[in-house]
Amino acid sequence: MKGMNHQKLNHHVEQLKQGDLSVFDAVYDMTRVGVYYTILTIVKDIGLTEDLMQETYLKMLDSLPRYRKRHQFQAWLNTIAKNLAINTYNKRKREQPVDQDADPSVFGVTHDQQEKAYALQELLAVLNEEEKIVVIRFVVLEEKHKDIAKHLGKPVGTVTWMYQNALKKMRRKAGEEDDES
Amino acid sequence: MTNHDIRTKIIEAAHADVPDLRAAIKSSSRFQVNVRPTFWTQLRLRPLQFASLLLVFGVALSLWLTSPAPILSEVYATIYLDINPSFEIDIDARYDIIEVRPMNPDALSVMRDLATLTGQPFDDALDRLVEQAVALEYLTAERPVMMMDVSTRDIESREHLLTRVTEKVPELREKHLPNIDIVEGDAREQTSEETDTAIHHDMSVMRLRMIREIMRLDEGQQFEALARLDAGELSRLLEVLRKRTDEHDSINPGERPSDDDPTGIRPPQEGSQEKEDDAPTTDSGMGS
Repeated sequence: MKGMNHQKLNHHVEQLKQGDLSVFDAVYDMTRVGVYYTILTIVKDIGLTEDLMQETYLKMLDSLPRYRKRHQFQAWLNTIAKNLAINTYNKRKREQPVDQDADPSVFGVTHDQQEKAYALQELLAVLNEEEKIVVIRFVVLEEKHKDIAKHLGKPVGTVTWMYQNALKKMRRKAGEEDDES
Repeated sequence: MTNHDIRTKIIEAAHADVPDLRAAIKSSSRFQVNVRPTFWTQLRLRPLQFASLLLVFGVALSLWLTSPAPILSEVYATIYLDINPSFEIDIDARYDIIEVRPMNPDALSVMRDLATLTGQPFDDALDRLVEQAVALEYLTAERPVMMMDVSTRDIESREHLLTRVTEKVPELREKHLPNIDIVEGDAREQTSEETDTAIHHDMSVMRLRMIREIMRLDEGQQFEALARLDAGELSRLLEVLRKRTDEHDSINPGERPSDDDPTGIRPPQEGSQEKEDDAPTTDSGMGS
């Protein structure tokens, strides 16, 4: 299934490269999760993530003539998103003094987004911030433990343990909820 | 609830949370794909690779321009070589051949069977020309002498080149002909009249000048007869005539040609044919 999706995505990307914008919706649908969480785990701000997500897709269209098929499109797109997010994060850090009391959570919410209920936020509520990042990167972004460990600056064993611990916490919470219902 | 169930829930929740920004993206003026191939996509080079190439090219160019070595392909010297086939050879400052010009039909026949000499060291080219001249019997045991001169910007370089060629004679003797030799001619500052006459007679200007000098010193000499002599014979004859003229002048200083005579040619002398017959056979070449 995953292989088929991959093939389909490549086909759409080739069409897009030829200037056929009618396939953009399909490409967006197949790639949006990876882009969104790549940005969110870096800037940790939902409002900013949405802005950068738009910018990522526009930049992708601009850079598409230079895209080579030998690269995985999702990985290439995530790299664009990651670079944009890192640049913005660094720029913000330089421009705004660091507020020690600011909420460093992955799902930091800004402006009008505060009203919306986030399913994943609720699901991961029992986890601490590092566990949330490990779970999102491993399950949603399909990154390897080795890469996550490198990003967090922790041993691979610690990251594996954190992931197992996170699942345990979530299972326990789900069990409590089942009991209550 | 299993780990698999939890993972499925996480993925579903993650998908549900991602906002639909398609409308916002499509409303942007930048929502277009530039399908026109850019310079970089056509070249298939990244700007960084191109910059690297440019840098390498720049370094090479600056090294070349600042190199103390003279620019190649600039004619440093012209060597005139007469084996009867007659050649003019341009060389650069490294003594590599820039061009070999055949100056008569015999020279053409020597060069016809040779691969190009351009770019080869002069020593090697001389070796191949001599080898071919021997093979085609322009140089034989009976006619083993070549004539040469060098035209350069300064006397020092000329002497250096002449010495270099002279030093090569033993090697040529060993490889091609045991009695091969080279005599020095005079090919400098040729006039158009000399060039035309030399071409007319299928000979080099060096040979023409030598014949004319012999005829000036001994009016009894015939051009056609002299033209049949090889460089060695002409050189020896000229040497004898000069020697005799010097001796005569020292005994009879009053009999010098008149200053009013613009030709400078001495009056005919008796027994000039005998003098030619008396020509010494000693080897007076550059290589001996």
